Order: sequence, then C-alpha cells, then structure tokens
Amino acid sequence: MTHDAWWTDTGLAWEDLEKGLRRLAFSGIDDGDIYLERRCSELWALSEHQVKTANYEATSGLGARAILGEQTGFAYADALDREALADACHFARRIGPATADFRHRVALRAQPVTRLYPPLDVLAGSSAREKVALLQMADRYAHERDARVVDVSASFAASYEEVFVLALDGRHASDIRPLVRFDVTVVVEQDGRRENGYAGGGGRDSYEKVLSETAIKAFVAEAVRQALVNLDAVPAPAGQMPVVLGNGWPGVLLHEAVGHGLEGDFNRKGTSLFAGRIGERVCSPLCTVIDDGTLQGRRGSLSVDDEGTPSARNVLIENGVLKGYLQDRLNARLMGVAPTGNGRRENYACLPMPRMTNTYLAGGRQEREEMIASVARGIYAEQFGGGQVDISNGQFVFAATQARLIENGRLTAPLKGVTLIGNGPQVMGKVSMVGSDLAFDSGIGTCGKNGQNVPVGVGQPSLKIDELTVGGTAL
Amino acid sequence: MKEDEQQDLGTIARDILDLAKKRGADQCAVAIGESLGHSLQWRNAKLEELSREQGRDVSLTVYRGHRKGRVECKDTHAEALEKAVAAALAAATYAEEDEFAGLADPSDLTVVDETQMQALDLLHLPLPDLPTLSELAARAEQAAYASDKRIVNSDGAGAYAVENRFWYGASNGFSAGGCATRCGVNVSVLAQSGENQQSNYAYDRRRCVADLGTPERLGREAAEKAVAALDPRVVATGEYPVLFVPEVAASLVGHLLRALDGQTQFRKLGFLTDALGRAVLPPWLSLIEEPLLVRGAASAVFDREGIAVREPVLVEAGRIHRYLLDSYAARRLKMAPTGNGSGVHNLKLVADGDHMRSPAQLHERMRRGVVVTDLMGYGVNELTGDYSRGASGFWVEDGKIAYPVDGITLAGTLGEMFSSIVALGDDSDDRGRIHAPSILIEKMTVAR
Repeated sequence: MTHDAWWTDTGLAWEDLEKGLRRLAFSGIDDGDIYLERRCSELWALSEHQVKTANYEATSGLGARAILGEQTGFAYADALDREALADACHFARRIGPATADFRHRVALRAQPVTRLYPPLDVLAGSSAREKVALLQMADRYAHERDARVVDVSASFAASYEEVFVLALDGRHASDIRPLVRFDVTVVVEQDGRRENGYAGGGGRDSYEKVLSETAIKAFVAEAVRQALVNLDAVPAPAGQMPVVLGNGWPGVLLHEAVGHGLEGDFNRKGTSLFAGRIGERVCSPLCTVIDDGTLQGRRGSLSVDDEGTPSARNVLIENGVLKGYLQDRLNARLMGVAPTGNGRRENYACLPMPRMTNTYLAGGRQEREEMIASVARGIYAEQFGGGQVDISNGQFVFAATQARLIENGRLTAPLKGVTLIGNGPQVMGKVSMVGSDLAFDSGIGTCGKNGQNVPVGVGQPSLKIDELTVGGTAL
Repeated sequence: MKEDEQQDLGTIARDILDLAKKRGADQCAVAIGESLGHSLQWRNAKLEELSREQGRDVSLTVYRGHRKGRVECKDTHAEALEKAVAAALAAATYAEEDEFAGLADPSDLTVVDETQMQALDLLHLPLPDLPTLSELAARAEQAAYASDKRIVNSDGAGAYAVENRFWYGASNGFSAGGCATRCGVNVSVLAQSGENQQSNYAYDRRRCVADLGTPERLGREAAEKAVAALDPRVVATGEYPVLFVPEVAASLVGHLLRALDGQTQFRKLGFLTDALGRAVLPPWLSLIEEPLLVRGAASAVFDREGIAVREPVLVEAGRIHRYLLDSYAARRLKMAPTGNGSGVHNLKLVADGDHMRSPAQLHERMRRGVVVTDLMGYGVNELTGDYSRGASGFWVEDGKIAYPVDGITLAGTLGEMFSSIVALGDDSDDRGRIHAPSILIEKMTVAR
C-alpha cells in the first residue's frame, strides 16, 4: 500500500483523482482510467576508449481516457498537478454525449499486486564512477581478447519508472519498475576487411545483480567471438531450404510469426489472419506458445500491466491449436473475454494496446545435434537482429546475424548476415523438431507497434523448420 | 503562434542557460520543443479515438572543460530545472575528457534573418478543428470502401493537426527559434479474395491543411494498392532488375546518408570510408539539399547548433562532394560544419533527362524484374554494406506489371546497388526529409 502513493509528493491528492473520475464519467460510459507516471533514465556510453555520453532524463505526466463502446477519448499532460488532470479529464470526456450532469460515485480500493522485481531506484544504486570504470574495463577487455579489435562501443542504460492507474470503478494499482541493460558492439579488422559483433543483456533488477563484472566480460567475449567469426563469413545461399534455429534470442521468430497476429486488437477488428480461429490447428502439433509476464526479474515482465490487470501466464497455442489472444481491457470487453494482463503503453502520452510480455515456445524432446544431422543442405542460425511482420497476411522476416551452412548433416562455413522470410502459420506448420533446450534471451528485446516501444522478452528451444526462404546472394 | 508565446520559449531558454552557468557550466546549449494539437481515428464509419497532443521537451547540454553531460526533461518549473541542471553537471563530472567536445565556433553560426524564416511559410494557423479533421478521415475511409467491393475491412482512417514551436540557445551567443504546423490524413484498409487478404495504406502530410491531397484520392489509393496485392504469386529465385518505388527508395538513400555522416566517417564505421571525391553513384546523378523550400517537409534556416547549410550539393555527378557534419564531427575531421546537425533538408535526387522516366517507362526499360513496394526487416549491415531484406511488390514481364509477388528477399551490397542505379522515376515523394523518386537498380539477387 505504501507504493500505491508514490505520487503523494506531487501536486496531486486522492480527492483530485476522485474528482478526475467524476469529470471523466458520463451516462453510458463503459470504461476509463487515470494514469500517472514518473520516470528517470540514464545512458552512459563509451566510444573510442572514452565515456563521452552521459545522459539523464526525467519525465512525469498523466493520461486520462474515457471509453464508450469502441470509442476512446484521450488526453495527456507533461505534469502531475490538479489543473493538468482536470483539463485532461475534461478533454477525454468529449468522446461521450454532451448531456447534463452525471453522478459517478466510486469506492477507491487498492488492487493487490504480486511484485516480480524489487522497487529499486536503479539509477541511485550504483555510482557514476563505477559505471565509467566498468565501461572502461569492457573496452580494455575487448582489446585484450584479440588484437584485431579496432573499435568498441559499450553502454549502460537504466530506467526507474513509477506508475499508478486508477480505473473508473475505483480500483487502483501501482508498480515500480527498474530496468537495466548493457550493450557492446565491437569491430574487428583483418586484411582491410571490417566486421562487427554484438552482445548485451539486462533485466528488472539492480546493476549489480544483473550486470556483474563477470556478466559484462561474458557479453564482451561473445561480441568479439561473433565479429571474428564474421571475418570468415561467405555469402549466404538464396532460396528455400531447411533451417535449424538455435535457442534463446532466435525466439524472435515466434514473436513475429505468431505473437503479433494474436494481439486482441487485430483479432477484434478481424484484420489478423488468426481472427476467428480459436480452437483450430494453426501450427505444428509440436508447438506450444506461451506469453508469460510473471517471470521473475525478466525484461518483459510486469507485476501489473498499465491498466491495472495483474500479468499472467497465457497459453496462446497448445500443441498446435489456437487457445486465446493477448488482451487489454477494451478489446477483451468487446470480444467478451477477460483481460489477460497485456494492456501496455510506452508512457502516459500513449494509449494502451494489447502487447506481448515474454513470449516463448515450450521445450520439446530433441537435441540440436539431431536436427543438424538431419539436414542435407540448409542453414543453422544462432543469432538474430530484429524482425517484422504483416499481420494481415502473415508474412514475416527476421535477420540472422550469425549463421552457418549445413552440408550433409555437418556445420560448415559461417555465413554473412541474411534475412529469412516466411508466412507465419505456414512456417509454424513446418516445425518438425523441437529441442529440449528452452532458453530465454539475455534481456535486450524492444517491440515496436504503432510507434510505441515496450521492453519484451522472447524464448525458444532449438528447432528445425523444414522449409524457409533464405535471402542470400549465392545462387 | 502569437509573438509573446514565441518570446516565452526564448526566455525559458535564457533562464536555463543562466542557471547552468551559475551552477558551474563552462559552456551550455539548450533546445526546447513544444507541440500542441489533436488527432482522431475513424473506423467503419464511426469515430474511434479522439486524442489531444500537448507536450514540451527540454534538452540541456553542459560542458565542464571538455567533459559533456546532457539532461532531458519536460518540467520547466524552477525546482525541476534546478534538478535538471544539477543532473547534467553531475553527468559532465563523470564523463571523460574529450578534447573535441564543445559548442560550435561562433564564426560558424548563422545570422538569423526573420524575413528568410517567414518566407519558408511553415506556419498555417489556425489549425483545422476536430470537425474538419473528422470529415477528412471519414471521407478517406468511405472512398476506400466505395472504390472496390474487395475492400472488406478497415484498420481505420486518421487525421491530425499539430503546431510545433522550438528554440535553440547556447552560451556561444546563438539564440533563435521558430514555429511550424503540420497536418495529415492516413487510411489503411484490408482487401480480401478467397483465403487471401492484403492490407495497404495511403497518407499525406503537409504544412497547411489546404495542401493535403483529397481524402477521396487517398482512400482510392489505399484501396487500389490493397486490391492490387491480392493473390500474390511466386517468382523463381534468380538475379533481376529491381525497381524501388519512392516510399521504399528513400530508405536506400538513408543508408547512403548514414555512411556519409561525420560520426561514421571519423570512426570508419561505414561501408564508404574516406569517401570524399569518390564516385559512388552513376555520373548522371547528383544529391542536393533544398533547405529553404517553401512549405517543405524538412525546411530550416539553421540546424540545432544554429548552423546553416552553406553548400547544398552533397553528391555531384556521382562523386561524394561533402559529408554531413555537426560541429563536433567537423572538428574531428578538420572540416567545416555543414548545417546537418538535425539531418538533411529536403534532399533531392537530380538526374539528367536521359535517366529520368515515368514509372511505365521504367517498367518498359526493365523488361523483366521486380517492382518493390514494401520492404521488411532489418537485414542491412551498414558497416559491411551487406544488404538482405524481405520484400513484396509486383513482377514485371515484357515491360509491364504482370502480377503481385510477396514473401521474397532482395540481396546485394550497398556499394554495388548504388553504382548500378540505371534510372530514376519522375515521381519524387516530397513528404519526408528525403525526396526520393523511384530508383531502378540493374540487378539484385531475388530469392523465394
């Protein structure tokens, strides 16, 4: 309950919020909320052996929305004070009919929240001097690993976010969200050829917990290793072939191939190719897809979503059969189902939408070695950049940054970065082997939708897809 | 914008700089941006979202000697600013000494000419009101539904209008601001034929509501694009000519601009290092900025450091004529800043008459190949120039569009792609920073 009132040191009082709800409400209103947020973030970045970037950002603001059927009225303000709140509620209410007074009475009550991360001010927890020293260490370590390293970029980013949401019915919830990450990119040069490698990770806890010196060294070593492998990379093949995916971050496949298509807004509007298909087989029976916002300390986790719904473990696809969609309150109500804890917004200036949290494919029984051994000619892709999907037709892409050719069941030459493209349900229907090695990503995912970015996680065991289009240059 | 409000941002900027200096900054610069407007979304003949936009952003950079710290905030009350200044100075204390760090040299600053700024004609008030925006969006969606029976669903049509004000000030004496309006309409619809569905969109954005394309034209355009993409077929993997339409051609130019960025050059992190004077594009092609374009999407008299574009030519007859330099990158490279601290301004691709053709003539010229209308994903390595992206569009056979294709990849290297541009379209798109026309590339690997 103490955290529920983090905003009492601002210009707002409980009675202002109650007044706000009254201002927002009108006869026939279906839903609405007042959202308060305060956020601090920092970025420390090293390049050319020096920490040249030291940025700090502090914002606070509020958003008010009123919902009538499918219609939403919304306004925000870059301030936490009485006038801004009254004004925002007044504008949001304009979605309703211009009728006379409406008496809206509510009893305020706190929503119980199970905390999945400590309410730490991560920015205050670790000194600037330590961060600068660790970035210097990362830089030195990269150069020590290999003399071919010619450029290193390394950075720490952290944010501390306090949110509070008060629903029309008086329920309120608050959350305090720490988030830290470390990123490193190295460039190596040999005989005039330059290549790069990247690694990084983070989560919802203190710098010390998530990013120890050992963890940082491991990321640096991985970035150097990737860059060196790329020095020998040959042009990737072009055309359709079997693809074996490594575990962990390659789960971005799932995020694009099925995740977005299962978001409630697209399905309520009937624009996703998964619309109206609950209970149908939509991919290989080897596939069980889960979105789980309750994983302790993970980047995509939320104790409570941005609409006050506790996050949950939602099985979206079970043994290939579509079970449910990801929902926020508006779309859940319009589709006649319960919200799933996936109502997220980038910040107070944005409207919530159904979004993923940590999305993963459940583990199977096979070993990666078996998968590779079963391929006569194809590729093994172990690291990826980002991906994208068109939810109306299911086309999705993702870019492999580390891949090898498979020839006669054995890994051979490393390949240049290459885009893989396919149709979500078709590709998921061609999953023929699922590994027992489920792993999650290291905490680097950011998902964009309608211009709003939110932190997410992905997970996946190794898996084999019988046929996928590989976008290389070698014919 | 009323003059007193404009003055107001200038006063806040000066107050912040004074405070930063008082608290120990040797040099400092501030940028303040403010926006006020509204937007709405219309779907299936019903108003779906009504939103108001109202924000202020302050970015303060301070230097202690050659150490730099930066803070961003929104709150401009005294107490919040005091905290922001303290945070920036603390950051600058721990950042490391960089001999090149600092503000622009006063001799590089532009003398702001109010008449010149007025002549850009970027401010068109009053903003269109909500009923006007509502009608624009509704008409766009209605036109899309009406244009083809295969349009079965809508992702909605939106309209917005925003007024932006900004002020840049620095302890080197620069202090100037400006204001501009922008408004836009967009519409996205879904076409269906049997099992196949395709969505597509159309949009326009302008400084003045009167300059927007009619909502009927936008609605029809979205519908026609979605219907044209129905029932895509496959192409055989191979090497073919590839024509990028303006909407996606701008991304190719974007890759070249990042390679020519000062930061990329002094760290040698791009596929074109030490590029000055090198032939990168064909000799009939030049790239030229037009910063003072009337009502332009990216028009400006000065960049965020107060520096004007003095030399508009970026690429001359295929050769790299200059880089894109802010004052920091300029000091690193021992060159003069180019006024591109905020990016390029209305960059145009200028070709001779022999190499500029209508889209139909470009199809004729390629005979057989792919027209790319949409690109997907992030498979471009700007360090090595390796290019591999997902795409959809149309197959051209016998010099004419034959049928839609999707699920293909395009691969090549940026260097080869730029040098093998064979022609441009006469259809340049002036809605963004880069006014790209269609770009025809001799050949790329297309996989399916």
